[in-house]
Amino acid sequence: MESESKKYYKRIKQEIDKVFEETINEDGLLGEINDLKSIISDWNGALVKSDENQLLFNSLEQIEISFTNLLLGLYRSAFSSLRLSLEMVCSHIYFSANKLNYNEWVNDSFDINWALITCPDNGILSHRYANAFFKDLNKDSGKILEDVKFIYRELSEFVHGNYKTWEHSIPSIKRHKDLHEKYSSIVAKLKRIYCYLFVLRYLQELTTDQVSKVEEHITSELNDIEVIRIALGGEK
Amino acid sequence: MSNFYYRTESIKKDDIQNLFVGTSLDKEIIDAFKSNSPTILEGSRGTGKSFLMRMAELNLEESFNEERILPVYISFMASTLLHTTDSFQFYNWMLAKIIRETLKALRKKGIAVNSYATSLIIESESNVELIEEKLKNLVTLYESSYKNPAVEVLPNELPDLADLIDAIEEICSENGINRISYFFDEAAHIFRPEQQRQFFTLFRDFKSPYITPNAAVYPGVTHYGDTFEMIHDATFKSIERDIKSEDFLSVMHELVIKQSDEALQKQINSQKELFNTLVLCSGGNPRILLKTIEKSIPLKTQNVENTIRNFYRSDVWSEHTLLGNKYKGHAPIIDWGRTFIEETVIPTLVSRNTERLERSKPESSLYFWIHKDVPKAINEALRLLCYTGIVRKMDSGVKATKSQIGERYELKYGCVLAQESNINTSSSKIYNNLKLDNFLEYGQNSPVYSTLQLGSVFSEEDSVILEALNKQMNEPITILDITEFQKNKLLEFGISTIKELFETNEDDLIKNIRDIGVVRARIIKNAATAEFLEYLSG
Repeated sequence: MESESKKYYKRIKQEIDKVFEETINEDGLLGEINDLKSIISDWNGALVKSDENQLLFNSLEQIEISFTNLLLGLYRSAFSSLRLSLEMVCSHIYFSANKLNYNEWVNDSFDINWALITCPDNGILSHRYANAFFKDLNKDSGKILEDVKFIYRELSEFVHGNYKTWEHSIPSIKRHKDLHEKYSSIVAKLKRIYCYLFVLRYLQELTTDQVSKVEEHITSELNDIEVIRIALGGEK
Repeated sequence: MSNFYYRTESIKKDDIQNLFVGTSLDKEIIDAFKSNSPTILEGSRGTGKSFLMRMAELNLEESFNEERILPVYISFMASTLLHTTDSFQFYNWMLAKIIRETLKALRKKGIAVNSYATSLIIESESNVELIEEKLKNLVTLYESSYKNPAVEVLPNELPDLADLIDAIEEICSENGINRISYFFDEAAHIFRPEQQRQFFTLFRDFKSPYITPNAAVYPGVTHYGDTFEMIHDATFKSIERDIKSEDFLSVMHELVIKQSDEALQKQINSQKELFNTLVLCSGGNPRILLKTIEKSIPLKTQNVENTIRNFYRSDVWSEHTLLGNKYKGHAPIIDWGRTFIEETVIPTLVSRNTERLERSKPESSLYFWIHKDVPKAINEALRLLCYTGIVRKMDSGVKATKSQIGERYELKYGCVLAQESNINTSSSKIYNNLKLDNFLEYGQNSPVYSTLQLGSVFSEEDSVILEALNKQMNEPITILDITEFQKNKLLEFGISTIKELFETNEDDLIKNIRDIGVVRARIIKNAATAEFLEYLSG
């Protein structure tokens, strides 16, 4: 005799299976997620090995978890893991230029936080950072910083449980088209943001061989930014 | 203030469709790109080749679920950065790029997964060969062949092109893809004949029921290699717009309006005649049109006339002259082209128009004709003028005086109009009376050709280049593409190297070698010049 509790969770599984089938057959998103993961993994493959690269693997794992949650109709968790992925890529970029902080962070004597990452004076999209790693991107970084902050805010609304995010959380598992679309649009923006962060931090240091491993991502996401296009052999 | 996009690359993918204005020609080109017949699109700089390729790519992306045709866009722009004398390495560089972009397209459709990025469970399925791994193994082998130019890679150590085609066919059939449509942009670099040959060899061979190659090239790409034949291996399309076509002005108007803010739209609509003058001057080149409009704001007669004078008398040449700085070996040819147009063609056309527009049956012209058998270097100069869009080759096999056959060219409208004192009023007169059969003629031995001297190409500092050139020029004439009879005649006369032939002028060949007339002398000299030019392009 099956317990009521068991029956209840089996019913949930049935509902989840329905959402899963509908979502996985949705055009485009599967490919977009693949592409987002490839951006991180190909950059990781192009970069010189270093301890803080582990954060990139962690970020990839969070994307996997996030998308799996989306397929299951667990939207709040999907957004939450996506935010974690963003935090990890940004932390990697921050630590790559702050080895002291990285070692302290590993030893639990330093806290990385969002305000530090997005600090307009010393953060990873500040003038100071651009001047040090890719001077010509100085003026484009401001716009990307705005995008990063905006996406982070969007994702955080689900993590913190802001009031307006609860209207979707009626007590049932079902597919929410509007949340699916919101997720897709955030993934598309993250692709550009991740590419930009990597380009800003690393492009000037890479050899031609290394660039060839990530060139398709850069041209696909950032070709409209003239200085990046020119850096890859394109024209004004 | 309107923000114009001068280059397709500057437009975000999402915006491309919104900016599209389709002429019947544009739609025809996009349809050709989407068809299963390989298509080559020719057009000079700024005419919109990349834009049409992107449109075809977007169309196929949108219909992927129904049509199952996967578009893959690849720009060979960076080939200018690839410095290798080994043509085999360039070929492999193209293959590696094709595989990487194919992988990206497959991933974006969710068909392939990145092996790094399957951290949750894929390890337990390690017996499954991922598409990614299959293709990446090929990339690694190709890349190793050009990344270390000093290390010789034996062809038998590399996968054959057939291996790549097989891999693609397998991926297509396993994933229900009907075919992959490739869009090669910036293909066949104009200055490198060997790269052109390599590209067209690849283009011809990279075909199967699952693969359709398409390419955008500049006018004047002429080195197709031994195996490629345009008529059999591709559908050829040209994007050069005809300023006399019915919808020309309206389409260009819509194209600009789409990129203009409200204030500029108002100006354009209230100053239609001035706007049309700018459109005609540009010859339908969107990049030039947008640049000249931006320089003419606010649109007033004086501003437009000043822009046309400044742009088409000097700015239009800046890109052409820059080429001379970038490819120093070509400077004499590039300079000759400019002098020929500015000092010979334009003044003659302007005075001819002035005189003929006064006749009872007025007529005007933008056209000139060049005999088909002119010296090779003259053809090269015209080829480069087409590349930068100063002139447009309209047609071949055109009969001129005494039934001589040659090629007809059209000079950019703005270059002729910029010479007029009253630009805006002259424009309608010139435009309305254009007659195609009214052209200037430059025959087989026109004296204007004699001013092009290829001998003094290098400066003294270029000792390294000279040394390499000498090596090439000391090759025996037997390697030239001329008949055995002609080679024997040259050897009898005591000419055994390319250098000796290059330094002997046509008249000496005619005078001193029996059975060598004007035509043969030109053919033989052209073969030596071709070798020399090929070196300069390297």
